[in-house]
Amino acid sequence: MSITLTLLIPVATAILLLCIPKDKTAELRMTALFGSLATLAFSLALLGGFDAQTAGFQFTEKHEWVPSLHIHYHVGIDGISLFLVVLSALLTPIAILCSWKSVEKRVREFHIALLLLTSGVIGVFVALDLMLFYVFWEVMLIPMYLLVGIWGSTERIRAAVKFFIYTMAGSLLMFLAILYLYQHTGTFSVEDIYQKPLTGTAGLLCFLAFALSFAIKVPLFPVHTWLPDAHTEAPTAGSVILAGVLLKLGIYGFIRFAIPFFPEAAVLAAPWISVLAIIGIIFGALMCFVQEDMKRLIAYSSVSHMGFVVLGLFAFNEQGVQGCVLQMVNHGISTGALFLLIGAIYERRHTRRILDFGGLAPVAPRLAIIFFITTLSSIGLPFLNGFVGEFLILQGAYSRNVFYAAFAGLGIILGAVYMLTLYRRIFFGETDREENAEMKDLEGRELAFLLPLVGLMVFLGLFSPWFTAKIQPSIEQWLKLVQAGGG
Amino acid sequence: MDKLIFLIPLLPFLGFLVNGLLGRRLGDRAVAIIGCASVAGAFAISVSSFLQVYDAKPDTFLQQDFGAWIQAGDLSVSFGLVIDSLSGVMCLVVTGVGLLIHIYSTGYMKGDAGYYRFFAYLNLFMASMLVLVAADNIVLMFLGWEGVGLCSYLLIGFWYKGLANCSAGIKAFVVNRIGDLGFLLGIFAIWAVFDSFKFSDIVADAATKDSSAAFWICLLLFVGACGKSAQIPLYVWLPDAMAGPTPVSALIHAATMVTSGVYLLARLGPLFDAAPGVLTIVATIGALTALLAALIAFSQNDIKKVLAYSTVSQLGYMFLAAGMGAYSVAIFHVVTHAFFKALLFLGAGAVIHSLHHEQDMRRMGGLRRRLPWTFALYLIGGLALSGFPLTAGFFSKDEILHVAHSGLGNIGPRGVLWGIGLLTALFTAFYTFRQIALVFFGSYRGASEPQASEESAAHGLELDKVKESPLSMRIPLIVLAALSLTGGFLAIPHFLQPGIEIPEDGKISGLIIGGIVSIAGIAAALTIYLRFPQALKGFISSAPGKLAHRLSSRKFYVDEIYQKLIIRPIGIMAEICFYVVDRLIIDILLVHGSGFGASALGHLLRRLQDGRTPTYAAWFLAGAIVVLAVTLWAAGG
Repeated sequence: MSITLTLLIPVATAILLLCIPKDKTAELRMTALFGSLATLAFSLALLGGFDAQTAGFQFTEKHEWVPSLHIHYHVGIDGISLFLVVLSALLTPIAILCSWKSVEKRVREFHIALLLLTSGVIGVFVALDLMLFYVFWEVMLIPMYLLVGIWGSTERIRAAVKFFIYTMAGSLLMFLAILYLYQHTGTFSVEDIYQKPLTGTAGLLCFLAFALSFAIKVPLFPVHTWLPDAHTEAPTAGSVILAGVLLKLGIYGFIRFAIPFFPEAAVLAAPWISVLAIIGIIFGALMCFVQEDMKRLIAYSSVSHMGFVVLGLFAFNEQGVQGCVLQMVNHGISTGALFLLIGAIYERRHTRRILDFGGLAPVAPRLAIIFFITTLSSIGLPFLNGFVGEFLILQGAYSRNVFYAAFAGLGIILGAVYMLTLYRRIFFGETDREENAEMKDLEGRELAFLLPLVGLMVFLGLFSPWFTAKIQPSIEQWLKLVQAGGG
Repeated sequence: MDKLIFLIPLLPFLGFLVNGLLGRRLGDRAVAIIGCASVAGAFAISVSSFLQVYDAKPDTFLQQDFGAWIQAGDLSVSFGLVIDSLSGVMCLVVTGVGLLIHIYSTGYMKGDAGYYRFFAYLNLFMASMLVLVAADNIVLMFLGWEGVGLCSYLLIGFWYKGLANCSAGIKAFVVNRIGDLGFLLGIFAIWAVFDSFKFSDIVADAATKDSSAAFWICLLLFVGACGKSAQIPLYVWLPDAMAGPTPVSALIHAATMVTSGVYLLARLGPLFDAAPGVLTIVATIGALTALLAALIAFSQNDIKKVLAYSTVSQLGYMFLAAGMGAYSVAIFHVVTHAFFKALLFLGAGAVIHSLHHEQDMRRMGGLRRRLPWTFALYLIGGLALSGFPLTAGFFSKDEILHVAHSGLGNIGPRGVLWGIGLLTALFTAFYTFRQIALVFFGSYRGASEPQASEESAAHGLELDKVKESPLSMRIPLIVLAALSLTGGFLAIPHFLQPGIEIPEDGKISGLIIGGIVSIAGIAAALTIYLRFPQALKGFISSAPGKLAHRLSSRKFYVDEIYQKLIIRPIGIMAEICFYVVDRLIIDILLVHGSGFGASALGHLLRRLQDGRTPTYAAWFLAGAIVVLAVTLWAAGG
């Protein structure tokens, strides 16, 4: 039960991969898979040892790193980061399995990038020192950037550059804010800064610098346009990690840093951000109506879904914030699964154009059923996970402002339209193309990573209190911080 | 028995799991047995639970709680079920009629490639519907509510090779979702006002809350009811839903699911009583829907479409009753309607089955000799729908009209709505017997070459090849016919709403007027369609007749209006958002061209971008490290 081990295993596995000759692809894949499964096991051990009664950080480790600057290696987990760490660790073996056949170029480098990415994102979720956080934040961008740029599809360079411009723009401003914060408080320790929230104009400016960086990651309208490109061009594994984990980093950044560091500014900005989130919900959903590429459609649906998550967070009440944390996990599972399914289709047909499909239901029944359940999860049908998160978010938003819930609710209607239409266009109708009629159904390897996700959709849909009980104490404490500082 | 009520929804759910996961391997026979047996089990438990709450005092109920489903702070939703007299009656109807329709389906769906899938969906529907009915809180009810919507979608598009079927399914789902948004907002408002989702808490506190809160909650919930129960303006999905197999139309789109909205109002009766403004809206929408749908039913040629519009119309009656505060009268009509409308749909299914999937009434006629059983049973259903004296529909419909006429409690009489209701009753009798005349009387028109109907599946089926359906399909019809004849004698209103005091004055005269109207409508339809069809043709070719016929047969152009005013603008907006906002403004103007700095950076990057990614990556890494080092140094200084 050590966070550091969970962080190090992927790195160690990556180093191990360097020692394996690069043409031994089977060995490379197996090694990477076992390394990622070990990471998952360690993260599950953290989950098992987690004390649901404690609001503060658990499993903390603190060592001096750069004493002259008061930088520490300081890590820990609370209810908010717990499931995000597990989700990150869960999606890595899945990403490796789904690339088993589709990635044939630079297999070794591919897995190294994936594993380093895992360490990077887990690092962001566990870092309790601002500088440590920033290092992880920047470091994890590199493998992600490489995944899109090297193993992506035809337009990969353009997408990678866009990803880079956006992210760098945000990071640099945030870095300036971090430095200012250090000057002001004399510490990089997250918990210490909580005790000295920055107020006034300086607080507002710093909040905006952090917020821009995180809003780009979420992504919040109108800084979302990198996402559809990055998603569309990324290999399946990249899309899964991108949707499943990377987008959550933005939300997590808001929760862990931007809001409690500058609660006054956050409360001031909340109505504006909520409105942007609602615009994003509706705008993202409308975008899905005109997409011809199924991957791009799902990417835009992420914009819509993440709008819900932001909306719940900025409701600043228990229902909204719990819904937000829960929905981050839900979105990771269902959108991750959607990208996996589209990846499976792409592997077989080498096209993602929706028009090229139709009538797949009788040809590939297993694919059709899993895709359908995932669709239902994505559109928030009760009994599955998406509903619980959306319900709590909307209840929270309703308590904040009735109109937030009413307008955001339009996204639920539009969501049903575009997802069910997508499903109809792919799976229903006559199987009129020969390539579709000959398509193979899902195989064992694919079921091995899809069925657990389906199981989680049902489990989270029916037994959400098991999750929220663990999240609750941390969120209560967090809300106190915000309320104390926000006035 | 207290401890077993969870089995009422669970048994069909298990049936769904077994049939859904293993059905393909089990074979049709086993699938049918599992499907029917699970519903029969639920029916048996419903009966014994019902007897228990019926025997005892009026406020007894059975309940079970299985812990939290959603929990966040002080908000909590539990898996709790409750069987009281109201949910008991609904469980009986759902499982009873459901069982009959399951049995019928074993014959109707014989030989269909998706046999196991059909029964799996049907069982899932039963489970969802029973959760909806038996839930002790409104969020769990919403789970059932969405579940039945899902099954409705799946079963409308059951024959998924036809894209039109799938589109009808999507339309149903989406229109329902519009209502669901209202429902959800109503739920949020309930929690904000009552701090609880439990029906018992809401009902107990309803009178103590401020009336504007009750108004908004009830209005929002009614929007949800309008979606599920196909009322103006959200009724448009139900006629299209007829694309599904006919047993589905009988079970989901006539007898059970579409009455959920009425049930919702009955469940929260005291809350709606606290919002008289909403009750006025409910009654008005109900009456107008009843009339509008009846007018459209006049000119439909598809045997199922006539029944679909009549369902919309009858649901309107139920809302008229609920809008008078007479929830138990509304439920009374829910029950009798379930009997006779299921009978009619299954009867129509038998006709369609015998005619090899022909649904166009212009290609039927004279079937009473070839299908004597179906004819007799259909006639009983038609009489009940028309409100013919002493049938089930006669009593329940007249009870509604009576309440509208004389008022109830604090709610005064609503003369205009009563008039609309009475007029609709006349129309109902007329279009029902127009249908019976076209299908069973006159001469057979199916053998001739296909004429006006493009969607007709059968091409010239000879009359002597038309055969009665199998026994498995006939027995449910007989049971339903018996219930349609006798169901009116159930004294449901007083049992369900013990406090209700329906005025006795004018009751007898109301029944007499109702009977006369019904018989007049029937007689008019039979006379015109059997004796004077030429007169009818003459009327339709006259100018006002042509206009009336066009409005009715084109359904008052409501679908076209929605298309032009709502759907098309959303599509245009989506295109504008994509090409103008997303692509042009954000991407090109802001991201790629925002000032000199960004474009210079872009320039630099483009130069770096020599196509060899490793180089690029090295630059990136170096840059990041430099930035980090410089800033760390700066911070130290």
